[in-house]
Amino acid sequence: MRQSSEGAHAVTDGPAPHPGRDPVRDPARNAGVWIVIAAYEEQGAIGAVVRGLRPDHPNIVVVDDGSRDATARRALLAGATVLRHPVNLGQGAALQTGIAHALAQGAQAVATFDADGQHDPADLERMLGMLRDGGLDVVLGSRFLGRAVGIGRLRRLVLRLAVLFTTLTTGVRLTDAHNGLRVFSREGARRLAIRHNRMGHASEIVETIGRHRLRFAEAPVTITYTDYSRAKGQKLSNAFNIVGEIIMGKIRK
Amino acid sequence: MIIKLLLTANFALIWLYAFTQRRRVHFVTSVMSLLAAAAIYLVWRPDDATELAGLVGVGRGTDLLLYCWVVLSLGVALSLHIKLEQQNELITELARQFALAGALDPEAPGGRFTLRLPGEAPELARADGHVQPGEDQR
Repeated sequence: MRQSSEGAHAVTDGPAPHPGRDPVRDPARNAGVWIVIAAYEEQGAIGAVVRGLRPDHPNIVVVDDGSRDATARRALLAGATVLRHPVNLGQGAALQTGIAHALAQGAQAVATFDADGQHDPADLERMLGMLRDGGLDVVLGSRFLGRAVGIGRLRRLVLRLAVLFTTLTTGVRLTDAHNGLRVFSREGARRLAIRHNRMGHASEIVETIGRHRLRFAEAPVTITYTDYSRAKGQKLSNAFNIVGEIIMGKIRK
Repeated sequence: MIIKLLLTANFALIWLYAFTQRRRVHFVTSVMSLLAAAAIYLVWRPDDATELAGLVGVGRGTDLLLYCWVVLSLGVALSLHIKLEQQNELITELARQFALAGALDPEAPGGRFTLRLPGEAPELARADGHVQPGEDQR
């Protein structure tokens, strides 16, 4: 999609966005909502992801976790605030940085959203509605209540085992223990203090919910696995690393 | 004889290290100190070692020493791991402060300061909406 001049736009993408000037449809409705996207080497998808959210959300922060590609630039051009880690720390650390920024900006609700295009903005709107209507602290997305398009059988099994492991270690019963689509109220977000820099953060979040007895609900969401996201996504063998990380974290306490 | 001297020096250094680290990780250093002192004693009185070994069900004194040494080493490894994790937390905090201080706002051309990684071109500083000819728009 090469541009020959400013103002020209790719047929599939719609009008070329200018930073900060993308029209937000109803700025008042989601004025207090901040979306946090952790991204590492995600130049292929981050622009589209941010542009998919921009029409309904004035506050998007992309945390570039030390990428060497054009992730930060494309996120910025798509209209997101960009924070850059000087070194790669991991998704957990990136989310915590983004959440800290959102809270400092006065966010009343904070959502986490994946950078690789696996998530559906419509699910996010529904979850925000649940958060508001139910007066909840946390709403967690669940692909097993919803849909997991293109998931492999092995991945499904590993995720089910993750649910079992999380239930046993945190006391919180979920149907999907490792979903990046979450929304928090300000109170819920303030309780988060993610110390697991890498992928152990998902279990850490659930543990925080259990420990502080936060009011939570699960929402059905659609996770779409594409060749792109599958190639970039987590190796299933990483599950062992995560378990090890969590156990070591408990010993350290 | 030379082996005994070398071993003694070795365990003495370990004891010294444990002693200097006693404030940081109390439990592990106490155990290490005790084991190092016991090791030095047993190096010079190997028959006591054999007697002690017999008491705990191990064949030879030297075997007992070996087992204790393994336990000691595991303790050190654990202690190092804990320290590494603590160091990681410090690095994370530093990097986070960098990121938060240099937030790039699409509505504020130029931003406060930009964080340029080594070898990176300065385009990121241009938050003024100008797309270079040929720049990808995906």
